[in-house]
Amino acid sequence: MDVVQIVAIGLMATVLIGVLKSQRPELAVLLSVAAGVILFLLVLGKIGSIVGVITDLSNRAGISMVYLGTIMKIIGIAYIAEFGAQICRDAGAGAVATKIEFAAKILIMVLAVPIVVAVLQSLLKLLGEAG
Amino acid sequence: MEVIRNLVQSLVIIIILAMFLEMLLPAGQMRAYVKMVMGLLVIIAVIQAVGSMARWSFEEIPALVAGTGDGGGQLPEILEAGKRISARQQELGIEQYRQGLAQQVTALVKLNQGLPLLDVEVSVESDSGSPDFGQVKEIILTVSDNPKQTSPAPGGTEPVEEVSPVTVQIGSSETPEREEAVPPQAAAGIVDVLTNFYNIQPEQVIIIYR
Repeated sequence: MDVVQIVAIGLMATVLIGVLKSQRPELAVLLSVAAGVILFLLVLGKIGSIVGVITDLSNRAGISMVYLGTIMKIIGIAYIAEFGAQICRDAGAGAVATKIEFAAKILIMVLAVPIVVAVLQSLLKLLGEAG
Repeated sequence: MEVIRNLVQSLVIIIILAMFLEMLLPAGQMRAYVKMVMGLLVIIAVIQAVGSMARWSFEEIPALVAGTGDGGGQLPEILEAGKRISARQQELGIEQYRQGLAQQVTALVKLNQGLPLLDVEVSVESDSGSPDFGQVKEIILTVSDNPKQTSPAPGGTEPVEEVSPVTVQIGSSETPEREEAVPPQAAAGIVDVLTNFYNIQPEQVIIIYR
């Protein structure tokens, strides 16, 4: 059972971080990062099947793969930013966490610009045809 | 119908995709931003699906009207084809109306008077520009001289005229009187019924004896 392994790794990391936090706070942060990376690698192989289903659905719906790729990138940016911001908060650097989130929001907006433009173009085209 | 089916199919897939992607979203502050971009994606997909249906409508309807199938008809041709189809439909409608009236007259004659009716012909005003469009112009009833001869039933065989019994009288020179074909009261009565029923003048009902 993968979930048992994941929960076990998470619990061990939590106990170790609790012990190290009082003795060696810098190592506690490193341990937190390592636990996060291990958990991510454990589920990395299963993400492929999810992406396959999403790609199939988008093909059926006639959605361009460019838009789907953008959405995937945005979801990835959001996860990585959340991951980094949480680690920063755990380390007591709340200000840095806020900056990471801000940067992630800007990046998401930049990636969303082509989609916004496509929505506008589609709406204008549809209104032009109807008129 | 096929286009609507495809549109509904696309919308269902888009909704499922949106739900699937929403489950992947992170739980923190980034969720709202990603959700907004995903909403835009769903809007694009829906607009594309609706737009494809709109394009189909604009391209296919002229082809259907013009009957060419290539969809490249010009507007005057399309309008001309529309007028032709409209005139044809009107002609068919008037013909159906005329046949219905003839059946009504047949039923009225048979029910009320029992005339030996052979045929009914109804003519109506077919000029759409006339104020009397659709009104009954003339009703021509063809009746038999012989009261026992009636029109054949639909799908039936031709009626056979009955032969009157032959009597041989020796030593008598009197010839028997010929039976009156249709009593004039009956003809006047059916004219009265039809004029009242269809609000027409008695001159518009013509009875032909055959």
